Amino acid sequence: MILPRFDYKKAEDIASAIALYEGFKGQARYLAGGTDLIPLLKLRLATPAAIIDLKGIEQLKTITREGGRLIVGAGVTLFELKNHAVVKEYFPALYESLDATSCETLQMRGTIGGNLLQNTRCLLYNKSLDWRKARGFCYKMGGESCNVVPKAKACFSNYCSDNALSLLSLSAGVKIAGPKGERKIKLEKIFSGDGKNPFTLKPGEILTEIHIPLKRLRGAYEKLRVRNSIDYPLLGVAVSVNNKKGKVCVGGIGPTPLAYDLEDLEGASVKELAQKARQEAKSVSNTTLSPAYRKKMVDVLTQRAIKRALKEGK
Amino acid sequence: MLNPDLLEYKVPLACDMPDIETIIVSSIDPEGPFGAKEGGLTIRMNAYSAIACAVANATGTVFTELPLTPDRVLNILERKKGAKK
Repeated sequence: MILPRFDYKKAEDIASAIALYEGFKGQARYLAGGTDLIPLLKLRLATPAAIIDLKGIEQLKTITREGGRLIVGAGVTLFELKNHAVVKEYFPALYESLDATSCETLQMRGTIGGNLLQNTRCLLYNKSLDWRKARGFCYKMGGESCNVVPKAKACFSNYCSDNALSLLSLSAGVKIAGPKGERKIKLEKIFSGDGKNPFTLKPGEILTEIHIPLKRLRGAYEKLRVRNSIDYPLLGVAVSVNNKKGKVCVGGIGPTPLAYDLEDLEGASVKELAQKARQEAKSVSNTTLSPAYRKKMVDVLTQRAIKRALKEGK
Repeated sequence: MLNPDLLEYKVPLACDMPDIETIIVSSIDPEGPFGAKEGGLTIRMNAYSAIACAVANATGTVFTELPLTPDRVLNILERKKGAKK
């Protein structure tokens, strides 16, 4: 498929990127790795007047330790982050989720910021314009109602970032720069819960940094997919635990990942948490596997991930 | 058409391939031209029939759909469990 016509601008720093965005009066999109944005352009799911390239901003490409946190620039590639010594040693859940993301070639192109802010996906949404026209536009494309759940005036698309789940289990925060200055929020606050517009970032804002508390944790990431590489999660479960308690995060089902606190590491509370996660997961038939199977697997993968996290490092 | 692209039409990739063991059978096929043996379709067709038979034997249920993905197998096993009760 051929790309639509658009202006291309390369920004030197964050301030000039935001200035460029404002110059295009909201008709622009930021480009980081492009592994999510370029296919969306080709499918005409995004039609910006201009693309503002953030790849030249050096400030976004650094990983530093500061004040008990690991500060990861949003432009760091998934591959570079995966091979960072601290990630492997301190955050096994993050290492596993980075490793499970697509394939290594795409990991070298995709960035962690772009991975977090990837658009939600649906079998009936990520299709060519002709296909979508023939089917009739769904709620997310501006149509009357959802094409998966008839008559529903809501979007049930799936948020498919592997790494958001592990970063949530690590209690990460993010720094956002925009036309009105900088702000720091918890990672869970960037999700709006609405599949049509899945993020709370305001127009022109750029996710600049990800802050991860520097604590050595045990962890695991379990991903449900039908083949072993280049596959979006049909369900993902990330677990990070210390000696007493932990955090479990379930995603890939619905537009927002769900986080749970694991109060103690006893078998009974693990089972209870897995049951709760299964009940709260809302799966509809918008992926290649049946909704019933995916819902069932929430329970199975949650228990499996916790079991594996506890076993490791013993 | 639900699968107009190769992202959702899941073709197995290199890492999904099982280990393959090659056995050379050095004999002559009297039906083949100059004794040549057919080596493509027969093997593919018989391999998945053999696996489906093995799974049917192990579970005591006959499958009607291929490939035998985990969700299909689980579904049929659960149906069988429900039928017994």
